[in-house]
Amino acid sequence: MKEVFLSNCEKSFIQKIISEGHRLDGRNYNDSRKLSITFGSGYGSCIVSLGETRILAQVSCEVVQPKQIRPNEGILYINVEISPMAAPQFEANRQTDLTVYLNRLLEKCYKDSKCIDLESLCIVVEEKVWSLRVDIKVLNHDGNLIECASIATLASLAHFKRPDVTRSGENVIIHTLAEKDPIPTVLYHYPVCSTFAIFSNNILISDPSFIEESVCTSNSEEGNINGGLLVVGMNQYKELCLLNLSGAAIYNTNIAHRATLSAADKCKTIVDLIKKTIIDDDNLRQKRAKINFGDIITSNHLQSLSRKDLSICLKNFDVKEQMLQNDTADVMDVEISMEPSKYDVVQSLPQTAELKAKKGASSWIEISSESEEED
Amino acid sequence: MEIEDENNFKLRPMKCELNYLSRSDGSAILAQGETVVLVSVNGPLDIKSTSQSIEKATLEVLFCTKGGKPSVADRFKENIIRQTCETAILGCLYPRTGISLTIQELEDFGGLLTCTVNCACLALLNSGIAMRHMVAAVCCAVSEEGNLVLEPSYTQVQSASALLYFVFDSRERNLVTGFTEGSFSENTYEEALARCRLASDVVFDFYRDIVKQYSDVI
Amino acid sequence: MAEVYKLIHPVKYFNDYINRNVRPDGRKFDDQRDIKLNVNAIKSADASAVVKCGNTTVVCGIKLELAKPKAEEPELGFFVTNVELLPLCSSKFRPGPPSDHAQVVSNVVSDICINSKSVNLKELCIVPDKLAWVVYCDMVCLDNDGSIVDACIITLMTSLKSLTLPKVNYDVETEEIVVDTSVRMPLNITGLPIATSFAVYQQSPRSIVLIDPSADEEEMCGGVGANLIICCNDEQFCGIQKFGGSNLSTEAEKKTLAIAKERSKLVEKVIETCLINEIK
Repeated sequence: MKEVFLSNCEKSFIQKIISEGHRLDGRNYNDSRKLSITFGSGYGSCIVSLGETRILAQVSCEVVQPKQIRPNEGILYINVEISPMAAPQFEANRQTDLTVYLNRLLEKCYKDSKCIDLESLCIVVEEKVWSLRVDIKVLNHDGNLIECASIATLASLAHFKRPDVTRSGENVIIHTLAEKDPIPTVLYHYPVCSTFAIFSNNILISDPSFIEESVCTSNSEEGNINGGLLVVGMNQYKELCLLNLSGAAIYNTNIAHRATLSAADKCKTIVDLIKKTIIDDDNLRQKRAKINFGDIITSNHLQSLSRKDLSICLKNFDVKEQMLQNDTADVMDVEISMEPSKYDVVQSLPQTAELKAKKGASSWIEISSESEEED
Repeated sequence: MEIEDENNFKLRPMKCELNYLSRSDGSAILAQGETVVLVSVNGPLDIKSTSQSIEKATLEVLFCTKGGKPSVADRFKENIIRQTCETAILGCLYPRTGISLTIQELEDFGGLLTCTVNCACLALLNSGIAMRHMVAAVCCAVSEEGNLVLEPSYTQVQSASALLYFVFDSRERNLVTGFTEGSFSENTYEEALARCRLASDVVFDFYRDIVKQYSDVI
Repeated sequence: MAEVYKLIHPVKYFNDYINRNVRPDGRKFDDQRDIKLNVNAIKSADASAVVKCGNTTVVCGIKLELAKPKAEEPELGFFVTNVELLPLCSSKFRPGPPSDHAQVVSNVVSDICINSKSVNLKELCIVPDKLAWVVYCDMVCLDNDGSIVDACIITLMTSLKSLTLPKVNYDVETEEIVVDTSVRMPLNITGLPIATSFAVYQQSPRSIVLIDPSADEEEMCGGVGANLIICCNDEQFCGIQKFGGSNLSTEAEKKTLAIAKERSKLVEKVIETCLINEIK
């Protein structure tokens, strides 16, 4: 299926509300969506969801021969796949520019930053080393894939444990998980990417959604681009590992500085969250609790079908508080009632607002077709 | 789960969530015991003219394993799902279009294919694509002693001498798809088929319960 | 005239035959096509067989190689089967990497081999962790006129039964390998799996089961390839696969099992006769 292009009204609407200080889902410029990390039954598999963006990461390992130029180092291989599951426009088994872009950024962030101790993956010099393979599968594409993918990569790598080996003479015995406790991967530091969308060359928006991403990288009505996506990779020590800009050139040096400052704090909180989730998961595993992806099944999404309308909220809500209560339901109870006339942002309850949009004309609401079915 | 009575079947506990993915037309995540599968359905949508059919919608199935490279066994699974779903979908209503079904394996503790078929059926129901009938898959293991175990657990699958998978339609409980692993006698086959046919009712009841939560009709 | 009729109204053409309880090629519903089997026609292969079931022609060649066993399974040899459907055999196949259908047929055939446990992989191992036989069984379809799996299994089993392994001496100290081709040992094959294909045609209200369907019949029944493949092995079953086509009722299903058993005895006799002929 061909990609659905952005209409001019969508584009100018998004640009307008952002210049006025609003975002479609009610966040502030600096707010991220709700982040949650769930681990699967095996070591090194996790699903990370950032709002509606969902990514599955799985680390696997095998014994291979090392590269000749690096005879005492293990191998890290990152593979990103975007199937039609992510969004209908993606084709099966085909590499797109986006896949290559994601793959390269993740390699920069995790391979080139030397955060993994590859030498510890060596078993016999020049003969046998561990090769780690990280498979990233995009399940749902709702913007900011790179941040979500980097969290997934880091969480799965930090969670992964490889089987223990013993050398007896020339033979290498690989122990099963039952025989010997597996060994975790050594990480020197924890780099994480965060994305900023740049609007009209001075507004920085963190964690852009799909529509915000598409608007900021597309041409404006006058034909000149003045937005772009800035990816900043930082570790928990606030050291810069990766900087990538796609879109227009920045002519304001201030922006990059602002972005790195904001990314530093954000990356720290994300890394802390990842570490905390892994420790919690480890404790549960020690108590022999069964951890399984089946735990992510809730009734939240099921009920969203039975409701008359889906909500779009347009004012700040406390993201940090939401990040703490991972398991509680996060469905906002703000309903949107469809009305004719312009798109109006109306203040109702404190800390909330309603967006009233004309029915049928509201093509920028992604769920409009479903809400019509229910009528 | 053990069979308590000849006509009283307990399958592994099932847990399902519809609309798990926001960008797909229909999606479902289903856990049967510890096996978990995620399926997304998109369609009917535009496809390239070489794969269009003027008679019916073209069904494209993609099976993604958790990690590692695609293999011939994946193509075989895709083929099973495609042929099963093709009989279930009223494809003649959507000529010259494509329906794409993407399957992501999340956990495999035995009975992955039955879970996949059931999850695909739920995702199709969720997407609103017209269907002839629903399909329900049930797996049966033959233990080394020759006993039949419905919906075997991971350890039972590992020790089984044969595994039989059946898919039934919701109208007449006729056999839509069947495939087997290992060798077995004719009597075992007949008995497994009859038991699985009865047990498929449990799966259809489960579908009804799920869909009832948001709709009155099934 | 009939050719034109078939081209313009393929469904009606087919239905007209079925209404008269006969199939387009003159067979009854439960008649199978003639089988011609020839063994060891290809001298460059270690074992080979050619089979013709009606028009469906499949050649199987077996090649032997020596290799080091996998580190995880040091006591097992390798047994690799592969089915190739080249553009030569049907206008449906294009040159290039194997099509989905070819991969599915390959998988069905290798599954039958694994499930029937005909070949004991331990016997293919010469010295554990050092040396083992790799048996490559390549089946090439020359003409695909339906029921391809049946033909593949017949050629594969016939070639396997005629396969002999040369004696290998392995010196553990020097790691030297000496192959003595003058002393050959036959490979032990337990059982003899025989596959039978069916196509299920829905002509409401009745559903009709066609045995050993031709390519046209398979296409009319809506499946990619045959709808139902039953594989018998010494009174046991080692694979019952049903994909697509019309749904199968209990009575029809019982009937197919009986027919498959009967046919497997016939085919077994064909293979035995062929092999006895070869040894003479």
